[in-house]
Amino acid sequence: MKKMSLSLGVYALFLALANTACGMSPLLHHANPADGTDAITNDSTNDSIDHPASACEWSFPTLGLCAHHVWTKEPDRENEGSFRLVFFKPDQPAVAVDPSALGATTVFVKLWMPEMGHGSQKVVTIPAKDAQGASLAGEYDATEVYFVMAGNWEIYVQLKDAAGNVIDSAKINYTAK
Amino acid sequence: MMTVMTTMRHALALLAFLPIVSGNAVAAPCCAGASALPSLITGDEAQNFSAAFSYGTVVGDAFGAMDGRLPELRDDHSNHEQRESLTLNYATLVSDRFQVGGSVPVVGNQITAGSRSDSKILLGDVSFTAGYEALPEWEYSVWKPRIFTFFQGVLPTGKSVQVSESPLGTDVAGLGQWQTNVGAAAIKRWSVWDATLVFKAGRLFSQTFESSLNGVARVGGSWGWSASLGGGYSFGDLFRVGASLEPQYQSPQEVSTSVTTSMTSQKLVWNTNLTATALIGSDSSLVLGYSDQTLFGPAINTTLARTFSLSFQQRFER
Repeated sequence: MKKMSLSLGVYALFLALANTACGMSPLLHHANPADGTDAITNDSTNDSIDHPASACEWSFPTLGLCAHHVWTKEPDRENEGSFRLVFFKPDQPAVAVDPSALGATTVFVKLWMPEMGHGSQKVVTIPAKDAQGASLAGEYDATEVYFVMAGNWEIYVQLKDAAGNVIDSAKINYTAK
Repeated sequence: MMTVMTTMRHALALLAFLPIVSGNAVAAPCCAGASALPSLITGDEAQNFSAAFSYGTVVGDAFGAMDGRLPELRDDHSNHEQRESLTLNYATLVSDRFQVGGSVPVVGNQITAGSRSDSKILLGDVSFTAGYEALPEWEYSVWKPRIFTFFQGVLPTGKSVQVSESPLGTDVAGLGQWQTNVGAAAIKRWSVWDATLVFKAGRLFSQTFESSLNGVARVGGSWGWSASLGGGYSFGDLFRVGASLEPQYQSPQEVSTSVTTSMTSQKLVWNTNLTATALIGSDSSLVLGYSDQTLFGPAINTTLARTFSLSFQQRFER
């Protein structure tokens, strides 16, 4: 009877504790923003969604192209984001250039966490259109941009030919907090 | 005389099965791996079986070595990650001093991120162990411990993050890489007090993964080690409480995909384990465990979890 009571006590204690796996830690930093609105921030290499069009964030030397991005919806820890990707020649930053005109039929975006050695969910990249549905040459919309965990990330943009071969590849750094 | 022998048998039973003694910490899906300690009989029985259920919550993130940030606590806007596991352990003597054993974990992941939520139950990384009692305790010594050496093999049965098809990573249940470890465990008991020291070092072998979502990824090999230093106190011959500190380290790995080749950060985490063991029969016991990865550091490149476990252990005497 004594042993039975003891085992029931251990079991009851487990059930009680299993529902309370929380508390303060001396190891952890507790200064996270509570509202989460600035949960994901750009680092010094992509520090503003208002950067000028001339910012050559991604440089593609083989095709002689640059690209920059503007967040249309910045991702946070709970929601996916999306951005507009604009390609241009370095000496003509105001004129968008479509990579497909240079043989790069596919624009591929991948999120990668180098220190953990894994990526995130697949980013969908499609040619951008204006409000009337007309194609915007040299502009692409990257959607379903989601960083599965906090930390340092890389956003790769690859330009591929019709056979799927990579013509050019470039990356920027991104910090998800 | 009979009472003394019964008391001694109960005392050894409280220290009978190594993985239970040191708790059963689990990692988040991104960082899943085999348990740090092998299945070893360290008591006087011929066979030992245990079933351990654990429930863990990820409460923080420790960033990579290059990041420079302190580990951060998750808040209401972070992913909510729970990981449950049911691990079956078995070990049997094949001679007086040789033993073999195995461990089969089944892992359940539940992750909620904003409006998205997903859960999966999968097989984790199965492991097997061959052990040898290198230094038996034929007669009492004040200082000389019982020492067990062991070889542990880990099979790539758990789904790796490299072949995950779940956006939230709920289908990640292991490293998915072959792994071999060698180590030793020293156990000493002084009346109501006991101490345990375990060291394990091993190799994680390179592996090529292919998935429809991520394409081909080659993950390079790496070295790792873990250690556990613990102690316990027995109340009479029916109840024991124990604590241990268990650092785990893994060296950087090269990861190559069609898009990038990068070197991961080293990983380091410190498990603080607390256990309470109660004998519920002459050959069986219950172990309540708590493991916390947030109390000691530094922690590098890992999620940090708090885990409760409840284990049932059945011994079969010689």
